[in-house]
Order: sequence, then C-alpha cells, then structure tokens
Amino acid sequence: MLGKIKKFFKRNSNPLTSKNIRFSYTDEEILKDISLVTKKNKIYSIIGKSGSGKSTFLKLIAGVISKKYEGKIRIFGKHRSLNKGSFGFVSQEPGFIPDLSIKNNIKISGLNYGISEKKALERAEDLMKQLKLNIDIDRKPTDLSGGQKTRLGIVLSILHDPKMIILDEPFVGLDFKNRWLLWHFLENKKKNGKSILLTSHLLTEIQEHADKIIILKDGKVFFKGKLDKLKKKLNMKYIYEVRFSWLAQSKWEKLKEYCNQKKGIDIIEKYEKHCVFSIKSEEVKKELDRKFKRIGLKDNIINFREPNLDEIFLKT
Amino acid sequence: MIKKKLKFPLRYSRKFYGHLKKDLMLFYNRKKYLYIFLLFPVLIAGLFLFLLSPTTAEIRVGVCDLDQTEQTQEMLDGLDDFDTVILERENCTKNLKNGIKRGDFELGLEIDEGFTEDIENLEQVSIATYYDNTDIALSRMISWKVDSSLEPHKRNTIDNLNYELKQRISIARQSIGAAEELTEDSGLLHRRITEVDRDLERVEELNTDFIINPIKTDMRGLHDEFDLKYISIAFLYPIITLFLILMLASVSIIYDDKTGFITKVKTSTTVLTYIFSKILFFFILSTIVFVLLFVIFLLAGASLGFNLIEVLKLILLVSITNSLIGMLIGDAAENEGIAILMSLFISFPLMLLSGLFFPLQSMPSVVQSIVRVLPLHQQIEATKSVILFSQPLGWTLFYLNIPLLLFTIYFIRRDS
Repeated sequence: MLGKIKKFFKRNSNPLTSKNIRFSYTDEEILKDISLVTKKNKIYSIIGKSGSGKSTFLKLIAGVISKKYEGKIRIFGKHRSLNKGSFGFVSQEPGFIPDLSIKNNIKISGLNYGISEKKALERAEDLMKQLKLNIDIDRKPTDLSGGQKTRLGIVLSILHDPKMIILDEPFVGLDFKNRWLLWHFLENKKKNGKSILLTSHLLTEIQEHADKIIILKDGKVFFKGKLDKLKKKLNMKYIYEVRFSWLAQSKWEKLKEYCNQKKGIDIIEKYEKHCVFSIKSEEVKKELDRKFKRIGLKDNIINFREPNLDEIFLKT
Repeated sequence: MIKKKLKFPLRYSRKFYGHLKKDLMLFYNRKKYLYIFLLFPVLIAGLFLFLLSPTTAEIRVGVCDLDQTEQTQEMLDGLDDFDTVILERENCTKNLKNGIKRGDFELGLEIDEGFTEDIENLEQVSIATYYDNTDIALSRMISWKVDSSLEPHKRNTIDNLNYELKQRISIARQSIGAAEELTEDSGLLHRRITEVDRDLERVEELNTDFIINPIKTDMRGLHDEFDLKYISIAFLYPIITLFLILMLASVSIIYDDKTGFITKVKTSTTVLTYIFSKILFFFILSTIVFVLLFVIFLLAGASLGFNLIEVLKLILLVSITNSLIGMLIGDAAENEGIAILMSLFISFPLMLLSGLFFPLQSMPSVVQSIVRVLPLHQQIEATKSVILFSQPLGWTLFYLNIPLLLFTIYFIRRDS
C-alpha cells in the first residue's frame, strides 16, 4: 500500500514529458498534438521535412519560444522555466560572442548557468578534450573553422553538465570526421546517463547512432520507435533501383497505375529514367520485372537491397 | 543546510554578474564605442560653454549711404561690433545684395537720400537692412543686433532734440512770464497763462530716457546666482544620455539577438535578470557621463552643489527610462542601422520639445500637456530640481518607468 502511495507521489523523472503539444505562430498550426516521452541513457533523433516543426518543437521545450502553447511540457517532472539547469540547448546560431575571446566566452557562459568562472574553465577544458578541440582559448571564436565553431558552441551550452542535451541541427556544415567525432561524443554522454534529443537531416547516420527515431510529418508524430518497426509499419523490406533505357510518358503512366493497384510496391522516387521502388518481397520484385517486359521497358538494375533510413523517410 | 540555502542567491547573482560582465567587456573591447562614448559629452559640453561665452568677432556690413552727410558718417562710425564697408553710390543696392549672396557681407544697410534732413524735420526715417533669411540663426539675431548697435545714435538724436526743445521752451516760458506779469489783474486769463507755463515747465523737465523708453522692463531672474551657461548642465545631461543610451541599448539588443545571446538567456536565466543587468550597465555609463559633464562645468567655473544620494537616484531613474526605451527600439529594429535611425527618430522630437530650443509656453495647450509627460522633459525638470536647487527627486520619473519595464519584459520575452 505504502509503495503504491509512494509511487503515486513520486515525481516523474523522465527527462522530457510532453503531452498534446499544439502550437502556432499565426493561424496555421505548426505542431498538432505532439506527445513525446524520453528516457535516460538514450539518443532520440527527430527527423522530418523542412518546415515540419522539428526546430520549433525543440525551441518550445528549451523555452526559446515563449509564446503560449497548448499541452504540457515537463523536464524531469518540473516546468521548464523552473528546471533550466537540467538541460543544455545547442541552437543553430553560433552561440558565442564574436568580439570576446574564447576564454571570456567560456567564463560568461559559465556565469549564465550560475557556475563560477574557474569551474567553467575547468569543465570547458575537459569538454574540449573530449571533442578534440585543441585551440588557443585566448583567440577569438571568429578565428576558428566551421567545425571548431560548432564544437565550441556545444561546449558553451553544456558547461553546467546538464542531464539532458537538446541539439538543433548540430551536424550542419560538418565534414565526416567532425560528424563522427560528435556522434561519439554524444554516445559517450549517453553512456554517462544523459538523455540526448536532436534534430538532423543525416538519416543514414541517425540510423546508426540514434536509439529512437521520431518522424514529424505535418506537425504530428508520424512514427516513434526503432528503424525495424518503421520498416514493418511501412511494409518496406527491399529497395529496387532501376534505370530504364527509354521511358515514354505513356509507359510511365501504365507503370504508375500498376504500382498503385498492386500491394507491396511503391514508387519512392523518379528522376527522368531513374526509378526507385519499395518492394515488400522478392516475389513482388519478380512480378514487377514481368510487368516491365509486358509494357516493353528495357531495364538495367542498379540495386536490389535493404532500404536505408533516407529511403524509408522518403516513403513517409 | 546554509550552503544549500545560499545556493540559489549565489547562482542568481552569478547569472546577473555574467550578463553585466559581458556588456562591460564588450564595451571595453570595442574601442571605437568607448572613445565616442567618452568624447561625446566632452565635445558637446565644450561647444555649449564656448558658444554661450561672449564673442569679440565683428559682423561684416556693407553700407549704401545714399545720403552721405556728416551725420550719417558719424552714425556709421559709431556702430559697435560692425565692420562697415561703404559701397560706391552707383548700383549700390544691387552690389550690396550680390555681396551678401556671395558671402562678402553678413548684413547690408541702405540709408536713403534725405535721411538727415528728415530727422531734422522730426520725421521718422528707416534704414533698410538686407540679410540672408535662409540663415535662420543669423536672421533671429540680426534685428536685435542692428537695434542695439544703433542704440547710441538714437539716444544721441533724441538728446539733441530734447536739448533743442528745452531751449525753445525756455525762450517761450520767458515770454509767458512777461505775459503773466501783464495779466496779473485779469483773473481768468492770468490763471490760463499760469497753467500753460506749468505744462511747458513739465515738458522742459522731460528726461531723454523717458522719451526713448517710457516703460522699461526690468528683468529679475529668481535664480540670479546661476549663470546661463551653468544652468545648461540641467539640459545637457538628460539630452546627452538620451542620445547615447538609446543608441547603445538598442544596438546591444540587436547584437545579443544576432549572436544568440538572448537564446542563451532564455534557456539559462530569465529575461528579467537580463533586463536588470542591462539597466545596471547603463546606470554605470550614465554615471560616467554625469561625472564628465560635472568636471567640465566645474573647470569652467560653475558652482554646483547637490545631494549625492539624490543625484544617484536621478541617474538611476534617467538610465532606467533611457535603457528601457533603447531596449524596446532594439526589439523592434531588424538591424543596427535601423536601430540607430529609430533612436534618432525618437530623440530628435523629444529634444526639440524639451524646452531648450523653443519655450513650452509658446506651444498650443494640447502639445504642452503631451510634452509635460514626455520622458526627456521629465528628466530635465528632475535634473534641474536636483542639481540646481538641491531639492529631492519627485516620483513622476519612477511612475513613468513602470509601464516601460512591463512593455520591455513583454517584448523581449516575445518571439521574433
């Protein structure tokens, strides 16, 4: 009995609990009934087309957007404005003061989070080591390369060692090496008990590193979970990539009609003579090949394989 | 336990200190801002003190003396502060006008033929005064300057006239005296002659000053202890701080927005902490402006006594008003250029309506009522009462700041 009472009164310890979030800047709703709960030791990645509301959702959680919204946002069980110390927000903007040295930027950022200048410098040194950011902190941040600036932005946003890290498009403009470094840094943080929530367009890398994928479509959560679950949901086992030697408009119309009627086949992408199909099974692939012959299409198979996240995302 | 209790205020004060330190470091690092900020009050105060000091420079005057008599020559020689050049008689007016247009003369005087004769015949005469009426400052000064330069000649003319009049009356009275004696026995006629003699006696005793100006206005300022140029500190301080703080505050908001600092504020501290730290920063800057002006005026010989606490209260209220208006401008403007234009757009009308350039009393009553609640007018009145009269500060400025603060919090919290 006592256990039940304790459980009832126990504060929700999930890093993020958002329920039925609805938000609009103008008359058009950007977020329509979004509910999301995140757990510790996990990397959550939000994907979606441009304008699907990814950044708006993150900014709403972090309190960057203070306009009124419908629904409930709780960070570790508390209202976001009462628990600012428990999360760090890495925005798309540079996040540093260009006219001050990196050292002063670190001090100011530390003070912003309520930690002493000395502690801020110590933590920054540690974080910079983890992010392999070997720079002279007496220089100005404007002297740094794009990748270094992004990593510095992350360092400055998590000086207070937050339990949850929210990153809005952190990989934009980074080369493969820097992306790889950042993913491993985030995975390390995850292992140390942090919860990571990020948005990105790099679907293949998300597939590799994120624990859960959240797909936003038209302001709603279209999918939430692991990649396999999404493949099942979309009935998409294989990708069939074909380049036709010639594709007349009449033949293309016939092919389209066939794919629309036939279960287990979807046209994901078409560019001139190049087509990408999503196929449910090998049997369906054979049927499609026969259809090509019947219509009179000469095909040159490029690929028949399991889909990656980019292709799955295209299907959504 | 105590450590835990102190944790919140310590964190909060660190956040506040962080914002303030950032602004101070940025201000120090961007040297051009720093130098302009320090030089601006020095330059304006120096110019003000210089322009309000008496000058010995003479005004170049071209003269067409078409009368060319000894009297007109004497009058022109006696013109104070004027460097006169007599022009040739032929095409004189045309040459005079062209000379003013070319900038050879600031002023032109034309004395008509018969000028001396008309005066001798006791007829009013005029001197045509030509000037460039597009030069507003000179136009406002010229009438007073010509009148004051001609003043000794006018007095001399009336003195001569008065003397001649007295002499003639004296002769007339001698004849009347004889007539009085002759009519001593005829009662009514004698009384009339005596009355005429008494009237003539009064005219004989007329004073030249009375004839020139029978009613003289005797201006007596209630605060004669203050020199005009020292009173100007009460206007200069609020105007200079308004210009500087409006521009700096608006630009700093744009800068913080561009660099993502406001995003950081929203995710790490509160907008209120940010606004209060900005106010404290601008209070420091306003205090520096005050100290600079005070030192300059002291060096120029002003004797200014005041209550330090009241002055600090005044600086605080002035900096709160100006920084809040500046922050609102910064929130409304898209970039630094627009912020500066908007600051000028607001400060110029406020300055023109401050009472320094045009008297409030000459404005329509509706405008007067509006002007009385404008921040700059309130700041000038408060500065006058604290610095010149050592009186305690009123509450008007304080009340004015409350809606401004609420607006600023709303607009900075609001998403762009």
